[in-house]
Amino acid sequence: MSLTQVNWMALMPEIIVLGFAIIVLLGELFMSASSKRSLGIITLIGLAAALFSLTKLWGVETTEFNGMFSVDFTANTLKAILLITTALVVLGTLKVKATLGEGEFFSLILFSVLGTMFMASATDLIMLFIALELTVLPAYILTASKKNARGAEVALKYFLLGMIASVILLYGMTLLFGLTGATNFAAIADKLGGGPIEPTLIVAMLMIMVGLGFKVAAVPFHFWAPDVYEGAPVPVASYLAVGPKAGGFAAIIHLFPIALVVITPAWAGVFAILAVVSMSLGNLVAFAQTHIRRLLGYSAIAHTGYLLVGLAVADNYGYSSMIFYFFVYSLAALGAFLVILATTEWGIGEDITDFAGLSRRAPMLAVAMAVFLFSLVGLPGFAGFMGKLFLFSAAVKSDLIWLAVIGVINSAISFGYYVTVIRQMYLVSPSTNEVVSVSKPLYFSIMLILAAVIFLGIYPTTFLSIINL
Amino acid sequence: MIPLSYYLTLSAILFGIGLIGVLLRKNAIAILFSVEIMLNSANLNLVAFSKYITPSQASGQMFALFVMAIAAAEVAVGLAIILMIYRNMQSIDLDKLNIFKW
Repeated sequence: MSLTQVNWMALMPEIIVLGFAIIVLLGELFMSASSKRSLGIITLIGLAAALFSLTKLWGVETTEFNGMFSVDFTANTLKAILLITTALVVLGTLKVKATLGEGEFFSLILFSVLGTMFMASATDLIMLFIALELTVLPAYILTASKKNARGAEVALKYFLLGMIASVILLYGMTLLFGLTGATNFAAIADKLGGGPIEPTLIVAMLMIMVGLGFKVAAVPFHFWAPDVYEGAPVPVASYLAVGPKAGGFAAIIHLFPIALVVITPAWAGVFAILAVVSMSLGNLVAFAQTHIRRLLGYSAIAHTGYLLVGLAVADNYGYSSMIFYFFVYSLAALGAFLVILATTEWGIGEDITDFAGLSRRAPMLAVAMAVFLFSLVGLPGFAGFMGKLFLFSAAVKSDLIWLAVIGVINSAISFGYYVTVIRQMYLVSPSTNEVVSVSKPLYFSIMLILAAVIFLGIYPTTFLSIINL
Repeated sequence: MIPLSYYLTLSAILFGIGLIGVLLRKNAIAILFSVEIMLNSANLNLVAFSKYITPSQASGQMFALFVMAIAAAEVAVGLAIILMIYRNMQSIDLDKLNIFKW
């Protein structure tokens, strides 16, 4: 195959992101300190351009590079979600003092986004592994960008645990390669079909699950998540809450249903167990937290549990509702992180009690935070409710009623800890009455997310028709 | 010719050594080394499978080459983080990293 046979248009979003990542990195090197402020805007333009070129690919189904890179509906949707949420993070951090140089910060984010986009499109073991590493390596560096003892400790833990997970994943992949002699997902499925199920296949499946379970922070591979969410700089934590996770779920949606279709009951069963354990443990441990970002970290683990329900269902309806819920969840989680960014920029601490009386000091921030938390609980009228409705109805349709029941009970339990934050904001009087002011881009970004969460909650059909649910 | 199972056994033993090292060692560099051993056991798997199962293709060997490049990149990031830990705490003993509960 020669390079001219590749349809480069199918890779246009990735090419644009790569180009802008390099431009921004060079900008950091050559631009004067005052003009570096524009690097964030250049990053935003790059993300918007990539999103625009992605809309040109909407509805296209094709594979490139001998079937290594697939442009399909799932990949496109996840890429769009990723680009939108990353653009919101970048918009929110435009005026925030970075812990790295602006160019380094934004180009590392762009490189990580590029890795995640390739992960969403990977239909080959080699492509998947490289894309995964491209996603997490910039994430390690971003986590380490605050050069104090806390930042270093969190970065080292994230790095070591991440690397161990990658290696276990890789070993599982080599076993899969040994069983089939193929690295392409479709070819693997071909070779596995019809033959007897060997124990090695189950071992390979479990090892791959450990590796990817780590990336999406499913219990029992969740140890890094609360630490990283708490210890990383806030802008980085907001990106980590959505970006790499989208990649993990994209990889799972491609790898398991395509390559391992012969043992669907096995992996669906394991995902069901992981889902129950993740949501229960995440929600219960969240009650004991006093640090707001650590609380969101455990809430993220619980939400990984909800999302895994879609995989336990293991049909297209389940995957579509999982993608919808992922979008809804990432909006709400990102919004909460950006509100925290706004308050920490003003010098407010990050304990839940530090949010006391926020409704009087920053009424709009408090309203936004409350809406995001309500959406995370899944109260009717907010986006999270519609997401959970589809996810759990998918479970009921596939006779996994027990899973839906556990999910609903967990959502009810989770109300308990989210409401402590809301109580602090609205019912406790503040220690000072000083008004919190927020930089304009950050405020705008939060308001955009707020509008999206309310809009998707009241009128979800627009988005649902896009993703064919 | 040496049977395939010999290579696979060696690779499994290497993977086990690496995993034990990761779990028991307290020194960050030693853990990094243990992970490298595990990565190389996966590479050995890939090359052996490529030779015995798909002798006419080179996809397994290509995979191993890519893994080596990625391993180098990971070590670069990892050593930088470990250096930063040392500058902050004058030690790379994991037991001393206890600001956050594990």
